[in-house]
Amino acid sequence: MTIKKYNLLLADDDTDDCIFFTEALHELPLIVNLLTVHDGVELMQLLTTEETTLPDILFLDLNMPRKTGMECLSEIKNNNKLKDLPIVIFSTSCHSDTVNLLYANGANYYIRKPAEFSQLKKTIHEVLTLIIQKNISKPGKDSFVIQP
Amino acid sequence: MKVASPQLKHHFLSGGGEMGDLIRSHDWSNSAIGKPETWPQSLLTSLSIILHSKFPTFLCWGPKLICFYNDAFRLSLGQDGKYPFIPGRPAEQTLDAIWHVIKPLLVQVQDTGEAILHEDLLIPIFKNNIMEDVYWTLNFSPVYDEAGDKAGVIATCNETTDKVKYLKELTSINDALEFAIEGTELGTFDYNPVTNKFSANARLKEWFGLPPKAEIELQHAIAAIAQNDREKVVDAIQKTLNFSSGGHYDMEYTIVHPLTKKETFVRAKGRAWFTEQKIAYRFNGTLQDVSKEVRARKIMEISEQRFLAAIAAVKGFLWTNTPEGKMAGEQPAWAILTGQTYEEYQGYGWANAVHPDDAQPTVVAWNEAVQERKTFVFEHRIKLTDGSWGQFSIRARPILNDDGSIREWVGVHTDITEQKRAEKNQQIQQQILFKSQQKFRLLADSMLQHIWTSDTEGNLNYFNQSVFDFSGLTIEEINKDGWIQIVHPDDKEGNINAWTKSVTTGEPFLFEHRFRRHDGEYRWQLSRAIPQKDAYGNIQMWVGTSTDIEDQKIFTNQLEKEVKERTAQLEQKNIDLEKMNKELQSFAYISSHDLQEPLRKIQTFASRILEKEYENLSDNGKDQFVRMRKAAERMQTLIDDLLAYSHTNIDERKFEIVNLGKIMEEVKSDFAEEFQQAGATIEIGKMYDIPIIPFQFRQLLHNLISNSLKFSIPGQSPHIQINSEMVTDDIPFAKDIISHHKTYCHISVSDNGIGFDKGYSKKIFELFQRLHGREAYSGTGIGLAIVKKIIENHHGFILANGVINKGATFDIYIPANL
Repeated sequence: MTIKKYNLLLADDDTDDCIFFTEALHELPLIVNLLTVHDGVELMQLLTTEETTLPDILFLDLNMPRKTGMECLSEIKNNNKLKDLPIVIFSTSCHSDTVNLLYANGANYYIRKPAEFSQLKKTIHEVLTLIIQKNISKPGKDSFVIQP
Repeated sequence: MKVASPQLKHHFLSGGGEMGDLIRSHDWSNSAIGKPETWPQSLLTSLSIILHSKFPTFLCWGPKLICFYNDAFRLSLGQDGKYPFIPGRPAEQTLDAIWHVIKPLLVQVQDTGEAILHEDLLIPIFKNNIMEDVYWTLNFSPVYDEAGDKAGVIATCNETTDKVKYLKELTSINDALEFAIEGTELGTFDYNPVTNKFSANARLKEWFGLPPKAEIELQHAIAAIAQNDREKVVDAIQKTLNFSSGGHYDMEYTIVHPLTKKETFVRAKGRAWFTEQKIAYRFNGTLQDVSKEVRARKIMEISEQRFLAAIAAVKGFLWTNTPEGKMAGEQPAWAILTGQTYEEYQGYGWANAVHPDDAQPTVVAWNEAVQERKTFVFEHRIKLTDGSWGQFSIRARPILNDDGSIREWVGVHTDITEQKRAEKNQQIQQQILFKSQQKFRLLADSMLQHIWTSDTEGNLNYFNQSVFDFSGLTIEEINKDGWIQIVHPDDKEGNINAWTKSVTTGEPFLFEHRFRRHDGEYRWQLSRAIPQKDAYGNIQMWVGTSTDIEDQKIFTNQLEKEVKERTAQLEQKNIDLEKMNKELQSFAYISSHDLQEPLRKIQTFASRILEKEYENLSDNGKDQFVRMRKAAERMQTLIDDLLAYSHTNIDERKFEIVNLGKIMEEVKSDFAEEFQQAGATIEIGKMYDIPIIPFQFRQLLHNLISNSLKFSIPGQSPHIQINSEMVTDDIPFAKDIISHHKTYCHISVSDNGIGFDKGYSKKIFELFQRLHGREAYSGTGIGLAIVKKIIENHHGFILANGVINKGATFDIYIPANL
């Protein structure tokens, strides 16, 4: 693994999920910085503030108060400064319509939150590896959903 | 007078009568033409001709016109032939009496050399001592001598005085005849049966419209005879021309002018003339215009006919009586009426035909009329020809002579039997009507309904007792303030409008309104009225009823209210149902997200404990922890199945024609691992292309195969058989379920598993139905419910058959065409 330190941003209102995510990252052989925000409005404020250094990857929950993940995705993709930010959707939902819409709107990957912690680690690792390796290029539809 | 013959013998003068002798004896020595010995042959020949002619003839010869004539001529000159004749003298002297007439003729012949003929030339002559008009027909011919020169003129003379006289007389007679014909305005005709042509005078031609030419074909005249008379006239003419008929012709007929169509009624008279061979050679006669007479006669006839018709029209019988009241002479009408014979009705015999009860009053009244000479007016019964009695009205009037005495009585018996009968019938009818009205009122009064009638104007003129009982009003009160007073004030205007409309248009009246009861309470009434019409469709009256519908109205209102309430309830139920559906949908969402969320966390925490803290648990704790994890897993499965079930709804259907084999292969590959583990085999038969919702059908097969694997007999390799076939109509146990004449694809899925009891063949499709304990066979009881729902989405049906420990078969029927 490379020694590069990655800046990750997680937008999720669920505290438990934030803990799971943080713990999973800790157990992975990676050097990352994780910043968490807990709703869409907070996320967009952070991203659109001048002095903010953009993260390398954004993990975006869909079901958030005030502003949903879907809305945030659209805003980001419509913002020239932000549109190249790699976005990984991190959600419980597995509805195919939603998945298709997310892909169409420019999300890079989709992780359905797994029930097993080991699977969580596995999927996060996998998606980080994919993005780093492929140098943030957009994946095909077939590999959009990361299966645990 | 005879003159002695001279000695001279002139052979040419042999004979020649007296004149011959005179010529022969004359001394011609000093004459202008010399001695006879010197006369040219032409003179001698001419002389010979005239002297031997019996026709009065004279000859003028030579330039001096020396005149000779024969004995016949001499006699014509009158004086008993003693006209002085001196031979050798010129004609001017010899014929001095007529010289002024004949000179120009002689000159003309001598000049022109051509003969002249004069007929009936008048030459007045002194004859028989008087000047007479004598007519001559004269021929003057030139005589040429040997040299070819005109030497003389021979004149042949024929006296025609008698002929001319006759002609004159005839003309005179004709004039008289014509005058007579003109005077009597006759038409005359003269027909020649041999040539079939006839002539007629102008008047006749005018009647017939014939051309003015002299002779006309008979057919042209016949054509102008009126159609009805034509045959009759032709027959009569034929008959007249037959000798045996006597040849007399007497006809009356009508001529119709072919152009003006003017009718002329004529009387024709004529006779035919026959030869000795009895053949008609002439038929002539006259026609007299008798139009006026005929017209007058016809008017009389018409008048008579009218009179008789008038009498017949009033069923009258005309008779006459003597001043004393006796019947005399023929009374044809009376005979027809009574059947009495001539002898029977003569005198006072007529009275026998009068009804015995009426006879005496009749005689009394009759005598009174006779005495007072006034119009007799009476009624009595007469015994008719057929023996029945007829009722008659009699009127008779006396016709007076100039001196005021009665000449005769003229009377008419008018048949009034039917009139009397009609009057009687009318009386009976009125009685019947009256009785019927009584019945109607009795009936009407006994009814609880209000019954009323109205005239054609809409004025109510009858109310039954019920109206008075209900309203508490009297007829006087209703008459005074009108029936409308009992109608509720709010209903009055509509009531009056509807009633006026019905009365105006004749349409039946139908109205709901409230009537005020005697106690002041208004009660709903249903009123109807229908017009009563006569045979011609004219409205005679209106009959109306009003029925108390208060209770009905209340009931109806109640019913309406209840229906409204129930409808409102149903609507609310529908709203609730929709709400529930939405809630169910949101439940699906909740279960997919919010329910899964805490479950997932439980599972995640559990996995963390299992990973890091498991060894710290006691054995009992470990067991309970494992059970807790399993429960969480089961809940996960349940939520997933529920989601699948709630997503299996019709909204998502999208039919595609897909080969079942393809779907089957896909499902089979999904199960590859399981098949291998369980050592299961699957046998797939013929598969068809049918319209299905692919992902749903895949789910269906997945569930069935999953079941077959799950419910296999332990220790026995599962075997699954899948087949399909196309069927129409012939589907066992499903005749009343499927649509007829529709082709279905029958797919059967059977296995050799544990099967099930027949009693559960329906129940197994219900949601959450489980036939086995969870410990033996896992599952949520949703799988077959999903199968059934998918089948329903495909408008098909499914039957389950099972035999315990032998296997289960699912028969699926899906329409082969959309």
